[in-house]
Amino acid sequence: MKTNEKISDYSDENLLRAFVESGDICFTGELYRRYIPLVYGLCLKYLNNKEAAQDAVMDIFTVIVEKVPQYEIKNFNTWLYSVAKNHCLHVLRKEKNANLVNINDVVVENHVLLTLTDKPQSQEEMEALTYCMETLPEEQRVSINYFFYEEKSYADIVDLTGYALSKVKSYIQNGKRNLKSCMIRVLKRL
Amino acid sequence: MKLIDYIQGKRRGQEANKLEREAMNDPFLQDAIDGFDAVQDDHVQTIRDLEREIIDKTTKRKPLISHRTWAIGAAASVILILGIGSLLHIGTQKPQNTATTIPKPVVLPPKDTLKKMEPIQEPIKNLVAQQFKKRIVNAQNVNSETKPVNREESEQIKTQEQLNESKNVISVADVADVMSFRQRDTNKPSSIQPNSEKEPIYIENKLNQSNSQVDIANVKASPQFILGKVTDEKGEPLIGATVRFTKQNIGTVTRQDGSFDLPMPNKKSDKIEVSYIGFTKEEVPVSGNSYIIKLKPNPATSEIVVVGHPAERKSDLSGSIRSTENVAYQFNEDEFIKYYKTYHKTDLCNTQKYVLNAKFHLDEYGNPVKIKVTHSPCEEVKQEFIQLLNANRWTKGNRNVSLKIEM
Repeated sequence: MKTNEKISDYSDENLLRAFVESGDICFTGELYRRYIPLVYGLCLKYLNNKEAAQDAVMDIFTVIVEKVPQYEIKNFNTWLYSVAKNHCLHVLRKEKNANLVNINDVVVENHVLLTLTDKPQSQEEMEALTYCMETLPEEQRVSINYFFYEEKSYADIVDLTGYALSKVKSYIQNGKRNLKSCMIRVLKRL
Repeated sequence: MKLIDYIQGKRRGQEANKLEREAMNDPFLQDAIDGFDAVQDDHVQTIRDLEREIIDKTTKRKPLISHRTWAIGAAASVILILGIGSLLHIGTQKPQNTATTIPKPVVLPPKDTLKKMEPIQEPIKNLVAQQFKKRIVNAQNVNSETKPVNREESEQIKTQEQLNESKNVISVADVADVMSFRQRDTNKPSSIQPNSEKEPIYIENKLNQSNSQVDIANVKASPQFILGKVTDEKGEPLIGATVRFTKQNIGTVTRQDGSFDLPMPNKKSDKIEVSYIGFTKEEVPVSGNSYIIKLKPNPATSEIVVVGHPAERKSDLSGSIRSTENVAYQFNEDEFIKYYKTYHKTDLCNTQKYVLNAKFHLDEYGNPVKIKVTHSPCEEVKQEFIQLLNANRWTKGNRNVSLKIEM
């Protein structure tokens, strides 16, 4: 179709605007299509079942079509994230046998501030970082080192160290949290 | 690097690391990556399917909300087409009627009966099918030149009328079937005259429908519907079995031949749940249009004792439920005294304490006969005793019993 060629070049913002102006859901369809891998992955994470996740992806689209005109969306990515996550939590709440404990863990993990990717600014910070790295448990230090300094992917680290993938992820998460609190402690004392 | 490449397995090197680092500042991406790692599957294929589904859904250029109105419109137009079609059909029938040498008064149905939406009764359906089966034979035997007998003709018209009514309840898919039959038939060189040619079309369709009750596998169900049959292990149909979806409040019961139909569920993960008393419940995932579901008998529910309560006698109310399935159960003197004490009326003869003596004989089946109450406080207790005694058959017969009940 003629519009389809054009549509794929539209930016997210333009697609949103086009939908709000024309009411034609082919714009929302194209916009949502771009986010399907993200949304599907999210649903997989929360619902832990591929059929349920596929249903959710389709249901979320209906929700989006309904809700888009009601909101002034500045960042579609974050907006969609909250809509999709809410939908999944809603589905889980409806299902009695859902494992809600897992979700809380997950949510907490995501609240950890992730600012360490920036390079340390001052000399003190550099020293504090070097010191704190030494205080980390070995697995965490090794994983962090590979990930942040040698720019290895999770899969690379699995190959290099023999740790399980989920372990690598949690070593990096926990290592970062420990590093951060350690650095705050050290820098305050100085 | 795109997420889709990462899912596809390109997880090594700096590019992958970059994405993973990005994910640390983007909870959406992080959640997605976690999700794909948590469930093992061909995720890329699923994503492609979902993308296609969304695009298919949206490029029809119909807003989602109007789906229902669209369906109503389609249904209305189908009914309209059927109505016009049947009018035309009767129109073509009429001249043929007058052309036959002896004009006979034939009562044609008033127009509005055509639009009636009464679901046709099963027996009538079969009747129609049978009559038309007969017609086929006639049409094949009788040459096109020989005209059918008049009496039979009026009968045809009547059945045609019935058919017209029944047509209204045929679904869209069936209409499509009729269409295809028509095409096939017109291609065939036929010795039957054009106006009688239309009838076998319906017959074929009708026959097909009645066949569906026998052989589900031969029926092509339309994609919006699920057809099925519930049988026991030997393939005998189960009548009145409950068929429902687990995630939706939609269900039905099986018909006389064990068949059922349900609309397609709107959730892919939904399951069909079939239950029937005395059989183990089955859950079948939805994956197709036709099912033959066999239930296994459930030994736990194979013996169900249904007991009724007589309304008049209060003292019997608690007593009428008792086990009858106990094989090792022995009914003898002790059991009867227990039974009497449990179930007798308590407000007789103005006394709770009394002694009752009785003698009787047990016949070869264990039934008490020749009952003689030698001692009782009053006539009412005596009658009560005899009544309760007569209610039971004893385990060991052919003997004399003398009984003393002390209350």
